[in-house]
Amino acid sequence: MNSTSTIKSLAATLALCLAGQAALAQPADSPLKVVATVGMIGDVAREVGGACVDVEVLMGPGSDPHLFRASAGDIDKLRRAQLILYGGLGLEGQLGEVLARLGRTIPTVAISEQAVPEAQRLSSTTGYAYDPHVWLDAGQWAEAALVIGSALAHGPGVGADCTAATLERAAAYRALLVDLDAWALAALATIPDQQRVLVTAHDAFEYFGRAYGIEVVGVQGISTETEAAVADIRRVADLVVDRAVPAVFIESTINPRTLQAVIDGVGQRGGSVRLGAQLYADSLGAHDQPVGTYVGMLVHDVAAITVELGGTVPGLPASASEWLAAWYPDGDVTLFLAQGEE
Amino acid sequence: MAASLRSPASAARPLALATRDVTVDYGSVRALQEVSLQVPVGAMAALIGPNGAGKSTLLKVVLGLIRPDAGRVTLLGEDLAAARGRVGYVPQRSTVNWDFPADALDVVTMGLYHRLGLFRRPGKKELGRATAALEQVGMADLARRQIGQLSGGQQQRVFLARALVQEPDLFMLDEPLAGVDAASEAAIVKVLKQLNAAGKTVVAVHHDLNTLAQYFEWLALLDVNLLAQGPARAVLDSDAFERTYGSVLVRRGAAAGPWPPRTVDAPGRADAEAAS
Amino acid sequence: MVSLLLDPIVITVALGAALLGMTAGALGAFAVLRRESLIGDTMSHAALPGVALGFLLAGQRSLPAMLAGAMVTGLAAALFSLYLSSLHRIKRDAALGVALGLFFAIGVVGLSYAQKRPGAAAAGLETFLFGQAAATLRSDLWLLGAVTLVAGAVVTLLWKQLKIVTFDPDFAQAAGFDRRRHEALLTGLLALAIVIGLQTVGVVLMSALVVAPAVAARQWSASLGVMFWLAGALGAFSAVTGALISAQVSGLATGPLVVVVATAVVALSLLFAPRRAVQLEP
Repeated sequence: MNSTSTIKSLAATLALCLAGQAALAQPADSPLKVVATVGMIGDVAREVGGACVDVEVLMGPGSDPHLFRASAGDIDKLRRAQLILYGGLGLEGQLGEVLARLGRTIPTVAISEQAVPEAQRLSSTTGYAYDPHVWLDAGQWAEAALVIGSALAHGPGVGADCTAATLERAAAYRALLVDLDAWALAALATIPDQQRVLVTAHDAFEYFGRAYGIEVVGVQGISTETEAAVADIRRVADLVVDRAVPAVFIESTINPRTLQAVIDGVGQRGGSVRLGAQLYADSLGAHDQPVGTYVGMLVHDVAAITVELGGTVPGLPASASEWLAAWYPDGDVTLFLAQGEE
Repeated sequence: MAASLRSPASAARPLALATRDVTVDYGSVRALQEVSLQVPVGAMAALIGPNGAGKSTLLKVVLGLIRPDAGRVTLLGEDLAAARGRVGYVPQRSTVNWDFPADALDVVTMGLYHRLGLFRRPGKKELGRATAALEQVGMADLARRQIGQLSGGQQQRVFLARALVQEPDLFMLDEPLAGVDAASEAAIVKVLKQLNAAGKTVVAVHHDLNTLAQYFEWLALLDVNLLAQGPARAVLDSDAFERTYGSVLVRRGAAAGPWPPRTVDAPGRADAEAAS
Repeated sequence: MVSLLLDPIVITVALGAALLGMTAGALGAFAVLRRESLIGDTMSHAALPGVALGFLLAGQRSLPAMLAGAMVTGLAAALFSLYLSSLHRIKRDAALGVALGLFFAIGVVGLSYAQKRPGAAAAGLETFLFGQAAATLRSDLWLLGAVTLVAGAVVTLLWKQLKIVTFDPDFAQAAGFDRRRHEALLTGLLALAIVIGLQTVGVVLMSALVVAPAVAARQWSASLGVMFWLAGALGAFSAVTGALISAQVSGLATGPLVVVVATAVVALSLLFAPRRAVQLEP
């Protein structure tokens, strides 16, 4: 070989080595940066995505998604995400424009819209819009878990290993939710028929009511943006007295005044009603508590409603044992119920 | 330095109002500079000067409405707190919201509030005195008229009546004849003359040079500084007056007024006449 | 209709509204005559940062903390505007406008910051914007009643002082009345009435309850006493009517309804009162 061709081949070898190094240096799966608007989606994403994802939730515990307005910091977070997951169906009332704009450059998935076919969606009481509170029906949310899993598995830059693992975890999580769905149905069925009325501050539990056969009455409408009117409070107080409902429930994201007014009103009508445990409807609870997970939220709400309205709570399904062991070594759900009441 | 046109000997005369080196600043603008006004008891005095000279400001300082940046005020030989009950104030009409729901009698009765103590309300006695005061200014038949429906002159008379019920020894009036119709002006001046004849001291901020010597016999010329003070004729003839107003015609017109000279000793006039 | 009026819930709401309307309307008479209609608006908008602050300091929903905060910032705004207008370049209404804008803006920022904290939504901070009259509790009635009594007692005892200071503050001062102290008292009472009313009518509309009844009453009054009581009555009437209308129809917010009624009363007064608004001195 003459010197020129030697140099050429040396150069070629060097280039190949460098390329090989580069290929090796780039990890096969760096966690996918995901931003979820609400905890109900974010927690599921974490469970399903595992180490393959890095999930950040925009609205913390106690934040009301109907009223949440994005600050500059929030928009910054959203912009740096590789994948955005949100509820849709009008849940994030003040974020519509922001999400539409970001959706042009970043993959954005409306979980509830994808998971629930039109025929199965509920309308709001005014009939103008859809009811977005899908996650309170564990069966529907099981399908949503698959949607989330799919989105995470096929996210930008996700390696083959992660794709497979994520889809597997999604299937397992879905199975867990299906079991919990059955469990919830069984639990709520133990409530005596006459008392099967769930009175809450706003109409968040329609899907819940439809799935588990319990009548649902909210003082305010679907969105907390509307102000409760005197007529609403009267209507609910009348109903509580008529049906001798033992307890009404506040929610973690709502000012308890409207329900206190109902309780006052019931008292003045000669009836009596308890203020039951606080429910988690629009938001998860604190991060370091069982109610900070979707499973915990569901279990807490079902258990609280069942117990306060006079039913008995059956044991959790086997597939939930892992979750239970992680959060509650003693395994007693009612203990857990007491803890969530804050 | 105020050019006082009184002889030093007259300093022994009791003063109704004395300010010593009063200075007032509004931010960086000086409104009054070392004003030492001395108005003798029984004077019918006018405070005159061009716009923005600080006349109203001086009045407010005397009444304790504005705190001066320097200087002191003595009223009837005492400080304001002690002399308050003997001083009657007639403010400018523009400072009041005439849309206030009240009739003339109501407003005049307010002049007696300070005598009623903390919780007492005005009674028949007070209403009687208020009515009398309204009669004195010729407004008795308008006693029940809403003040917003009164003319400028009538409003001014109501204000005067309000001061009258206090039965003060010293009257301080801020532009009492501004924007006032002829009938009201005559009525007001008549009352002031009566008060003065009874020995009360009257100090008024006055704007109309033509009627100056007609109504007042003691003047203080103010333009941030006190330029001249003393008997009317002397002040009108002074260089300071000429420098301020410049018009010989005005001076002559003012000096030729029919106001009779006072028989009570007007200190310094002899000196001023001797000097001219 | 009768059952509606006898319904304890409606009675509670109506009574709360009546007390609030009466106190705010009557005290508003002084504010309007002192040409400080804007001060009610300023203080109520300025209460917003105080509400957020009270929540942030207490760490959770604490009504006393939030109302105390509202009182503090409301009065601070009034004092701030007083200071601004004492700088001779700035007129009273401009000073009030500046204070209103500044404090309200801070309040909105504070609200969006507080919103991120846990428990914020449960604190119901947003309801302070437009009020939630429907949720009047019996405990509220005690507070409203107490404030009404205190305000009524103070005004009755110091009637002539407040009257003279309102009509001619310079003359009052010269006559020996402490003008500043009495003006401060009036402002303080007004702030109290506004803060108590915030939960019911909200920050944005509260000032209407302060101003409208007084303006309407002025058209029918020949003396301050009449104007004061009439403003109170009209305020109470507007409030109760608004509450009753919203009691019939689901979804009609009470606070704004009260204000609509109050404004309608003003319009009717301007059109039909025998003594029209008096001409001001040119």
